[in-house]
Amino acid sequence: MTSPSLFSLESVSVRFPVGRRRHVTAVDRVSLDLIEGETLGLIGESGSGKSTVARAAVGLAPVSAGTVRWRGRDVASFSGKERRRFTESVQMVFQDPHSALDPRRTILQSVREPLDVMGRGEKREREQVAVNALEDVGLSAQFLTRYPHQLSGGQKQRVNIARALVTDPKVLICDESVAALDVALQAEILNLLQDLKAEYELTVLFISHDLSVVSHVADRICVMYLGRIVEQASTPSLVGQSLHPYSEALLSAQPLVHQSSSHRRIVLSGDIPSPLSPPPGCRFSTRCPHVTEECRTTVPELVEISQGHDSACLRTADLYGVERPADREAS
Amino acid sequence: MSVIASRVQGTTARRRAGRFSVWASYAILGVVAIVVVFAGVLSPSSPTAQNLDDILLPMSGAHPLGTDDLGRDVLSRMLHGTRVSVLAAMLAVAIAVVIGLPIGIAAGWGNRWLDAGIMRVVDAVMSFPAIVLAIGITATMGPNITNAMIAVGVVLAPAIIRLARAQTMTIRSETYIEAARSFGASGLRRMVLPHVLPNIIQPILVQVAVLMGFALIAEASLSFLQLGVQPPNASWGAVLARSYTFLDQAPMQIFIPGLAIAATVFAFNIIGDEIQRLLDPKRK
Amino acid sequence: MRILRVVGTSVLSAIPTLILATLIVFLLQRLIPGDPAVAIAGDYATPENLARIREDLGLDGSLVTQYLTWISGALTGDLGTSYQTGESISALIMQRLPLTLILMVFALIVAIAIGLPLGVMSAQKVDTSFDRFLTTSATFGIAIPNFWLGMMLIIVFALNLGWFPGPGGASLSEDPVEALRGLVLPAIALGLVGGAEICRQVRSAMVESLSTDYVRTHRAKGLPTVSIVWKHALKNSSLPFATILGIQVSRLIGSAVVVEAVFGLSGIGSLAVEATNQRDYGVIQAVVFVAAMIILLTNLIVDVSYRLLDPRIS
Repeated sequence: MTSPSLFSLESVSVRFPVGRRRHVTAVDRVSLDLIEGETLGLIGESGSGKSTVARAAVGLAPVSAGTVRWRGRDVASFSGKERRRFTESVQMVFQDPHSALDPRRTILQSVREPLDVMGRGEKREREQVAVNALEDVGLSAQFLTRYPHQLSGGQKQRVNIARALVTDPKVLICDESVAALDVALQAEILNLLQDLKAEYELTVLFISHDLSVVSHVADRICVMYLGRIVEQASTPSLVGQSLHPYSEALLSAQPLVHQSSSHRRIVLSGDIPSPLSPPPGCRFSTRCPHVTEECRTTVPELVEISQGHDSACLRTADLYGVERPADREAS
Repeated sequence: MSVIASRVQGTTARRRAGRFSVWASYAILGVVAIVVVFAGVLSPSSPTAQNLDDILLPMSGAHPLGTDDLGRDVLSRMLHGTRVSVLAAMLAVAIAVVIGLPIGIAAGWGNRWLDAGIMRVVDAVMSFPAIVLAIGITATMGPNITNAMIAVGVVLAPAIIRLARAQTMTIRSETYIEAARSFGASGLRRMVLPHVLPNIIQPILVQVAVLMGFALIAEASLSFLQLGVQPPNASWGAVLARSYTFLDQAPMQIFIPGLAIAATVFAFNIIGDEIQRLLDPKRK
Repeated sequence: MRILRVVGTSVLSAIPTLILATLIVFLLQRLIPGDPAVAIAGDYATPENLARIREDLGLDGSLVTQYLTWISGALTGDLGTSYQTGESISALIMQRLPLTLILMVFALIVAIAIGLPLGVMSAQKVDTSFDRFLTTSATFGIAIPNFWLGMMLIIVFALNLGWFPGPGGASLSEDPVEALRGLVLPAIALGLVGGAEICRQVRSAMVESLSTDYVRTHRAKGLPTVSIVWKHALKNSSLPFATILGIQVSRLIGSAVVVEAVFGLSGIGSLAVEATNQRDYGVIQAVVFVAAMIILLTNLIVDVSYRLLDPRIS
């Protein structure tokens, strides 16, 4: 990748303790590069660990291994002041607009809060910034003194976005930010995000389980399955010719994306396995229609298969006619 | 301890249950509040003024509730006693909240070792019968009403600790708490006061109403045992204790303070139920 | 064998609480204002006397040594000697405890006899005016100070009707029949209020139990209501009942102290009151200790029965 990365995760793992001396690996050696100005889509089923990736990126989930880098520097090494600059620069919009706002605080209090916490400027200035941000998301001054329960779902999500914008961030992480809204509202909020991206010159990490939403907004897409990234490519490349059976299955389930009638819908059997006891070998092997013995035993790494297109499938040669570089070296 | 468990859930029956008892409870608490504020104005005479010529008089125009064995006007003693009893109970509950709220939030918010440590101590305090421990503390510190109410406050604190802890644990995983953490909110001023406290306070208010009832009975018990309000001062328990010594001569004088206690405690419990009902999110 | 293992687990898990509880009792002594030795011996004590008390209490050693001395004594039944009467405190307690225990058993019987059937009936008729009346009455019952109820009972049944002896009953060892008759009124005073609490608690436990699918299935099968309520739903509520009874024991000990004072019964409650009046700190401490031990033991029994009754806890 030639463009400088603004914000990156380098084989980050997140482990949570479960009961006595047991751990669950929610995120397993995930690497992500956010290039300034782009929108990166991160897609996966619930339980794939995509939200944990977001939480680890902003320090809400403990990073057990790997490095989170901001402009090339390890955030773990940041001093208090640098840490604050980083927090200002990377803001998050949470999934559920209803629960992301404190029910006992007014809209103004909630939106102003990041500035209060960071102790920026005078109270009057902070208030003005908050009012401006609310205006930018399309909410007039009459909402300032209202409480969350007096707002509709779409209005609440606008408030959440406004709160993420008051610190003038560089990166906006949207964690399933439209999942809780109905379809008409989703489009509205997505358009708003696109506008704000241009206005605030944002770089966006857009997390969703919905491929149609992600392919609509993202320049590049990463596909996660059970804590690992299985495919990563530019949106046209991934939608045009996916190089992983899991992505294929996701694509085939999208009526908007695949128009070709020659494709049959691939229905995956079974549920996503528990991350407490992931299958050995390829994590998708328990549900993959093309599984072989090797898939069940060999852990496939994510490698570049063709220009800017990474896949973690061992059988790309058989399935898609593109060999894995490791196999090429071996043979 | 038992205070919480004795009130397992406000259930469906009380949802419609006697609007009458709710109104009656508001009325009782209203009267009590007026008496607490205006006890001095309302009393016909001083609660401690003795008149040995007029001892153990029955109810009359001059002494609506009669006089006691020292010729003191029982109505005046009851009115002043109401103020003393209610203020004492408020002191005890305030102490319980001041001790219990921060500790409970710390237990619910902190790591599991802190929580386990705090809860062990709470369990230990709860393994004492509340009144017995209060007696032990008061008797040791020296019998007076302040010590007695400090003791009652300490004994009631675990009820608040448990509730505050449980509530804090419920909200700590809420998204709005995580959102606040994501932009660096932490500590007392930026996390506990703006986010935690306002979101856990309502159930605690219900508990406060119930504990008021408990504290009133505790005051009466301790004052009856001469551990609380000391003669010649009046409180509901002190009036009861005095009138018990001439039980066979003026039984009415026992009836009145007891009824005052029972009615007020009842009102606090009903209002507690009522607040809980009003706060119930499932209420239609 | 399962029982042994269950009891073992319960005992082990109760040990930290036991240690902390004894620590609290021990620290009570520290609340004595001024020099404890002076407070215990009185203002006119001789220097020799003071020195002896200091030595007895181990006041010269560190707090840890003091605690260890006290706890090793307390757990082996040596609670020291009363500085007021010179008697062994353990002996005093053993002399007074049986009456309190009998009173508590009587009170518990009264409370269950009133609270259980009323609670079950109330739960069966949820939301009817009968249920509302009963619940409101129970709320009022809980609000009644039971020592005051005791006084009212004395006025009516001892002074006016003369059915039962008034305050100051006979000694248990000299005239057991008369002494037991003297326990009837205090047991009712304690049991009525306890019954009101049990009624409310049983009602909520039963309301929950009656709404389970398990009970609904029995209903659908056409089992008679009486059998459903008294056999199946009640059995299903056995765990809450264990808790409710455990709570009642704790409540009763506290209330018994005051009620004993009203009825002039010589149990450990009035022992505590007498000790308070005489500034007999060792005795006060011992009563608090014994009360806590009774409750810890009750909790242990509840815990064991939980583990035995509930297949989910192993």
